[in-house]
Amino acid sequence: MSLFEQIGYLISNYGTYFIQGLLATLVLAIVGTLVGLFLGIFLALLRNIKVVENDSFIRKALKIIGRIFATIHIEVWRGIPMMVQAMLVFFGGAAIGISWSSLGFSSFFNGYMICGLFVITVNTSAYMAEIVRSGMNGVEEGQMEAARSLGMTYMQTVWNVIIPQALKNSLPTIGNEFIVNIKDSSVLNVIGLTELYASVSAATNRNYFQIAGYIIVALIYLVLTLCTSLLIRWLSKDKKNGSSNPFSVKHDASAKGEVK
Amino acid sequence: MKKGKLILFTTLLVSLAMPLTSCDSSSELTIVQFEQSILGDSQKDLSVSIGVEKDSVLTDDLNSVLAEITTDTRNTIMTQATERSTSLEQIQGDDSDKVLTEAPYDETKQDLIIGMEANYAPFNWTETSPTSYTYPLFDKTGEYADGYDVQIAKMCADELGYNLIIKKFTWDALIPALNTGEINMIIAGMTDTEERRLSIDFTDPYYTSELVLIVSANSDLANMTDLSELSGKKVVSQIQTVTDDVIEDILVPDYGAIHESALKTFASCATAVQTGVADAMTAEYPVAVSIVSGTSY
Repeated sequence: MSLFEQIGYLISNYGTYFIQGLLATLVLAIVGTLVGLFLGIFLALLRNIKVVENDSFIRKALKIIGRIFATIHIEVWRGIPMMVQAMLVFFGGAAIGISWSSLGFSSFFNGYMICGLFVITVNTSAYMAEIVRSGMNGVEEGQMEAARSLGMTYMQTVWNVIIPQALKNSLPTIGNEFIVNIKDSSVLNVIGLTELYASVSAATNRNYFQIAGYIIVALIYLVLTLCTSLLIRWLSKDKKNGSSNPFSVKHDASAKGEVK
Repeated sequence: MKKGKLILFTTLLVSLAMPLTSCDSSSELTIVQFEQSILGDSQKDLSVSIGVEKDSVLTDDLNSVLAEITTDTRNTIMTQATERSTSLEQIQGDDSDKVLTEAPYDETKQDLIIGMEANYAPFNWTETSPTSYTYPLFDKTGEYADGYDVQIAKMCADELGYNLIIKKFTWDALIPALNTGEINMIIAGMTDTEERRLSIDFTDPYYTSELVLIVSANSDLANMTDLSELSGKKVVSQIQTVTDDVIEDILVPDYGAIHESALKTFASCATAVQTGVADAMTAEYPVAVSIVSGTSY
């Protein structure tokens, strides 16, 4: 069989494996990125927390503990490869009595999937925390001062003024994290999760058409990541033109002379 | 401008795709057999056993079940499994009553959870649809395990009166899975070795095979008469297997072979030999038969 015939054979006989793998990869990447972003915002807030002179002793202690927790969480989960984390969480968890397989509630959201979702979410939250934090640091301090002098509390300012701008500024980086998650979810096959990468070994375990199999998944990954980058590019362009930021209004279309 | 970009892009794509059309990924492989005595002491290691937890109560029961399976029965099961694993068309089997789409579950019985790779034909592999030989894989939609190991697992569970559950794990995750209680035993074409006995126990062997080499059919090694021809040739096998230890312990020191770094699956090793990344691979005979006929299409 030629390579093209092999690709055809794999698609017609094992197409369902690739589709199931694709679904698993998408769920891992989407849930991991969104929930990770949500957790990351809280971690960024914790890490950015400032101890003020006139705080009570308990308040000060809580703030410091929160900051230390966030710092340790971020450094530990960013500093270890996800493959190692997956092995430690799955088998380490089983060793101390967390039975991942009993946490599964359907054949798709089985124990491996739950564990995989946990690992990718917590791992992403560490990266997201740093992304959101640098986005927050990018917002001028004057805005915080202005909002506070208008009578908004610290938390109100953060939620309504700082975070929305921080998220908008870091949209390309967040999108990048989603692309990274699409690709990196492949390492979760070590705990028995059949995602897109692992679907090749399931599809070729009897016919050994490995090269053909990997060409198929390479193309699927490429389509996924290309679509994501296009989406992100479109989203961030839209946001830029619609914003009231005076620095971002007139610099693209008219300057290049490509007005339609 | 846009048109220019499009032309450039298309040319780039076509030039990237060109090598693919000429890519010869279906180069034929062949088996080279040799005198097993060269293996010395490790010759006895070429049998596979069931892995169980340290001091498991299951060991004696399993040994008595295995003792009842005669060598003839074993060979028949292996021959049939090899036949099924090498056929491009799925072999359904005659007994349609035995086709299981879901693992049967009896409340009154205890569970017997077995771990395997389901990626090591003909010992164990994955099918897309059930036949009278397959058993549904735990928590995997549309994946059914078949192979010699599956038939042995069915016999053990039936004889001892357990609910059979088969879980799929990658090769290097099997022993951690057994040690952490994810599974109760490993039936995965695993050989009883000293190193593995440090963390798990084994039953008596349930299949004994022969070590062979797989080489490209049009290479010099295909007509090899003496193992010394391996001198300077790259030999590969799957990571953490006895067939990989043989390269390190015998083929490298005694015959001057080069030990290629071990790969994750036997399928990857087969691809390595086909593409010339390695000159030869070591495998057990039934696996070699599967690989050689599997890659001949």
